[in-house]
Amino acid sequence: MASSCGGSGGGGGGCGSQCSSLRDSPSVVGEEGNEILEVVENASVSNGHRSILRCSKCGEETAVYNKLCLDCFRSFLYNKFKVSVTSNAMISPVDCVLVAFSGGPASRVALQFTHEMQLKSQKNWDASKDQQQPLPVFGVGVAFIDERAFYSANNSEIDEAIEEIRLTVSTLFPPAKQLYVEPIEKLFSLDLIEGKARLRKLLDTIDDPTGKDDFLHYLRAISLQKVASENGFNKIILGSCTNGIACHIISSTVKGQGYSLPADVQYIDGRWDVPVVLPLRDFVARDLIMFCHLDRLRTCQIFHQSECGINYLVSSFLTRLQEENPARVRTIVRTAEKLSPFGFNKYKEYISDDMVPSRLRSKVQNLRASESAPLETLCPICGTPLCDSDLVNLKNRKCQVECDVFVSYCCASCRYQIVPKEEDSFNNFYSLLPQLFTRRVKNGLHVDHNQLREQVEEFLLSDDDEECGDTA
Amino acid sequence: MMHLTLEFGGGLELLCESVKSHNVDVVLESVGEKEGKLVMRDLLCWVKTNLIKERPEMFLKGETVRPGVLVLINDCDWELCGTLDAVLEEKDEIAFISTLHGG
Repeated sequence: MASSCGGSGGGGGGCGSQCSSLRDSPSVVGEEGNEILEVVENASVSNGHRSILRCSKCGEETAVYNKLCLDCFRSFLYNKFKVSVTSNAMISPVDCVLVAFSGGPASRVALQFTHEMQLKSQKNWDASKDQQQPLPVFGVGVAFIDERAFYSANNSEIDEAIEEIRLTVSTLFPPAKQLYVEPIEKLFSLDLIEGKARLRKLLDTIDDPTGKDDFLHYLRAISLQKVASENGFNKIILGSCTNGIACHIISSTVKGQGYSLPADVQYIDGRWDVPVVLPLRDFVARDLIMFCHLDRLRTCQIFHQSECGINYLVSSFLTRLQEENPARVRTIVRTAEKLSPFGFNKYKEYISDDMVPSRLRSKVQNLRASESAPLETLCPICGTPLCDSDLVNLKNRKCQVECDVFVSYCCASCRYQIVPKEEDSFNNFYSLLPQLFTRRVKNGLHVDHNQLREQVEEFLLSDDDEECGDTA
Repeated sequence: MMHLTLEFGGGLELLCESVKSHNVDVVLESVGEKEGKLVMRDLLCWVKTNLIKERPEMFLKGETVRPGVLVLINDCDWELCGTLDAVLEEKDEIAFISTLHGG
């Protein structure tokens, strides 16, 4: 039955209010009227107690959610996931993907469906290896970033939750998947006690609560990059869903990060060493939570968002908006989609044509043929592409001291809410900052050094002038 | 007297002293039975009085659940069963899940 709200057939979230209004108005005529009659006919006669609605897709099983039975709801979600992955060429047969798993419903679904795709791929391999050249099966690993050092949290509860995660991952075979539990303080030191101390000292230098919250987000992202690079993964799958992305859109706008906003809301984010993909971008939390419950996929919220700062405020605001109209988060994401993405948000992987699904081959070939987009300069803390005013600030810098050079590469937002302004705090901050951040400047992040030198030549001190000072 | 299993998830269990699953016996007289039947409207009232220990506004808004709370009767969305007018039966399992955390 065609969806009466014009959205994806019969099941997509975000059509709640319109659909129920149609159900409540039996006088609607025409196509919509026929649909209402169809619903009434499909409903089996009540057994005297509670009426049962049949699934609008298969017509056989009892409808449990959005007029679909569990099997059809599962198929709907899984097919939507598959389309998201294949039409954006997110996973190629030679990839090793790392699924970031937080324990929550969205990343649980991402993990489940990635596993199911891998399993199908494995079955195809097993079935066809004697006959033709089968496509290899992509590898899957799972990463959980243990953030307890950031919070004062109950250790035993977290350990129990991690054991549950281990159990969950162990049930997802064949093929078996490796779980990486990475304490976030490992970014600071291999010795976790020292790492935790350094992390906490660094956080103490950041006054702004939103800055602290955002910094945790960047630490998490860098941790995932680290786990992926160290263990041979070439893609990271994030379970970010429509609700989280809508929060990010509003928060970024509020924080004056409008220029870089498109970078974070696309299916593909290729600015990192290990590209990040978002297959659940168009899934609403309501559907994911409902599916986890109905399909008995165990989830838990292990770490709770800090309740101070802009991010929490925006999250509460969006909760209120959703109460009035559940479709709001989709509208917000669809609006942000109208912003032009960056070059690194496009599929750019250089693998042989055989590995690309045939319907995408011409798209890939066109992309390769077209001029590559100019490389962006990225902030070493948050990875944001620098806007024009940030670039001017960078070009006009006169310093040569390493820590000051670092700051000049930072975006305005990080300079405002993360980088300490007071000198002692700043020196502490920079000395404690993990190398994974500071070396992004030394490696000349997406900047051609010779070109930059030419641009700033007139501002540089010549060799016979007094030097600024030694490096930190 | 009707025996029901009530489940709270997605953070709602925090309103019930962190207990996720409750096996309850609902006495029909105490909830204003209509024609000998217990409907969801009555059960919500009962839950608010007997199970919700703090911040009732996170669970209820007026006579229905706060928007964003999913309600399932025997693993079926209550919107397909009549929402507030859904009739409950002995040994039914009712789940309340908050969608506040997307994960």
